[in-house]
Amino acid sequence: MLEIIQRAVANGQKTLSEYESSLVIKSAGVEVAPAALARTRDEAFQMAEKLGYPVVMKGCSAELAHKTEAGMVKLNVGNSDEVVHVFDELMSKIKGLDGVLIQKMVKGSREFVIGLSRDPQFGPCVMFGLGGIFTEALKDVTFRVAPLSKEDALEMIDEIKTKKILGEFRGSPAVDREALAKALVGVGELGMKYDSIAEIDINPLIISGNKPVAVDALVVLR
Amino acid sequence: MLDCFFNPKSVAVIGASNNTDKGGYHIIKNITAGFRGKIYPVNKSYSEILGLPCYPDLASIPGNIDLAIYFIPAKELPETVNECAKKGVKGIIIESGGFNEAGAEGERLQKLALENAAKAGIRLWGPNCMGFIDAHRTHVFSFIYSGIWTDVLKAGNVGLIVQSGMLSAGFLLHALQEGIMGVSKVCSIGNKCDIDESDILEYMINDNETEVIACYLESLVDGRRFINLAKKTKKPVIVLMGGRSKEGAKAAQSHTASLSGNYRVTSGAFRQAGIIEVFDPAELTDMARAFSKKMLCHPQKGTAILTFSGGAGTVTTDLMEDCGLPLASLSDKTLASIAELFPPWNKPDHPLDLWIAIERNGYEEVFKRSFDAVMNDPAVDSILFHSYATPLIEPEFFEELAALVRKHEKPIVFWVVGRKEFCDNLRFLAETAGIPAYRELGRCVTVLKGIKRHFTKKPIDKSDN
Repeated sequence: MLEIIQRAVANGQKTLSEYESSLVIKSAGVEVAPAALARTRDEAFQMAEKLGYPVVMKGCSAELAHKTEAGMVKLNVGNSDEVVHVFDELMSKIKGLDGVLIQKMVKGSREFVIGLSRDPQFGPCVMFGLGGIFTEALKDVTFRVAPLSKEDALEMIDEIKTKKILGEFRGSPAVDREALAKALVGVGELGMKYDSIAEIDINPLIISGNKPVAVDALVVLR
Repeated sequence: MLDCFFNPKSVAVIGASNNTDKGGYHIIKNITAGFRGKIYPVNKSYSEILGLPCYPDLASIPGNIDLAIYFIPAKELPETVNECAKKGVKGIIIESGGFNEAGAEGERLQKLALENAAKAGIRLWGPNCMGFIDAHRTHVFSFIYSGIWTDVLKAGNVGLIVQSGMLSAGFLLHALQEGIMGVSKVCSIGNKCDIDESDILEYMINDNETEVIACYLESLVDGRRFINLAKKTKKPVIVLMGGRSKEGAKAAQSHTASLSGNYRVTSGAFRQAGIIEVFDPAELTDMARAFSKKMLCHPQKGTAILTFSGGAGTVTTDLMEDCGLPLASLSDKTLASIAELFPPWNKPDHPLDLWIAIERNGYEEVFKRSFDAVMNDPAVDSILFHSYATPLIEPEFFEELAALVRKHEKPIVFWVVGRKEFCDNLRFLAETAGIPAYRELGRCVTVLKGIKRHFTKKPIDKSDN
């Protein structure tokens, strides 16, 4: 992981690409949506076939901060013809992409966020809260100072006002709290371990079945 | 490390005064009331204050000085620090204002004074503060009006760290008069240019006279250090954080030049460290007073409510649910034993409204037997006790209750309502016996929540005893 970060710092990158970011958080124990980076049309096809449809395709580059707004995210790509078509479209839209991220489409109606920030008084801090479209309006988030113990993480999970949706909710099973706690502890460790990481934003973290799965992640460098 | 402040052998008061309207008079008056070391008033205008020889400047004082109290205009501070250095002063309490809280010139003076002090190895306390009170040694190193503390100051186990002058004085008076609570040290730290909340917290953690630490803070100089200290100690640490809101943060900045951080981070860090956060000054004193009783708790179960009023029991149940405190599921055995006090046509239910039983068997009989039953119920970890005001209760009743609290390690929080003088008397009896008593149901629940929270984060370790 150190290499990815060191290389990015050496290149003067302000952020890691989504793909690099996902590798970093995966190394810390956060489950990420299965994905691979396709550099050619052929790779895109093979990877999508391997992951199984539908897939999500995203233009991938460290320069690309607002992918959705730039029209660089295509959800629900359903077959090989579409994959090839979307690949060409994304690659031609913005020059200099690292490639196209082919990601398994993760389904789930419960979305959360995990963040890492550096507080001037406390240093690296982990945030956990409600994700999705109401994140801004409800501001249902809570913080802990890194490093986190497992108990700290479990306490965070119990602290948000919308914690009810972490239980059995409208036919979905209760969330795997151990996995969620592991992700929170892991993100805190990244903050302790890598000085060059300024922020991490995992949003959304979708509950797929009972597992929290990161489907988008951004690592901001100092 | 802070012994030059808390255990000095000699104190110079720069800005001492003979004028009883001036703070410089009260500093001398306060120090002479309890301090047994050497006291040196310093002021060009006087030759004597309260029978002590007054010196025109520090240089004229014979011998060295441990501690100086500074109470003259801000502009003299940087040079005075240098004069202090020549007299071997180890610490200066700067009680004057006009520094970082007052604009650019004040900032310059504070910075310069700090540089001079650092060169000489002098620690600075304040500026813009009220100094401190050590109730065990009756050291009152403050300009607090000398008439108001002498009859109420009581030595006890609560240490206060307060980033506000008047609040510390008001807080102190409230705390001392409201119930039975004594203090160990009350420290007003002002702009904390050098000595900050973590320094005092660390001192109090190691201070045998301090068993509970309560703070009013407007900023944290080193948040990580503060929470690491709080996390490691088993002593309850209670914090009221000023400047939580956007406008409140502005007020804090003009008050003590404090830059409030991200409050949500601070609040999360407090919970992580097992710090009890409170939201107004009365809650701070009430919480501190509850912890000062040293009741223990094993908080995995529920709370029993013993009341004389169905309404009070209902409201209490609501308030408990609001803050996530579970009502205990009393055992059949407990309910059956309390049912013996009831008429056959009525059965007790939880919350335990005991009025019918009291009518038949009398107050003390009913409460004693009910307490005995719930204390022995393994589903109960704590008790909220409601009483009406009555002049008929003897001190022994509360002493027996307090003995049950100690034996079972289950805290009781007491609420009493009714005629004021009877209420005051019952609260006094309860508090004296070691049971915290309040006038508001909500405060009882808040305090109990604080106690349970503390023992959840810092469980009783038998090896501590």
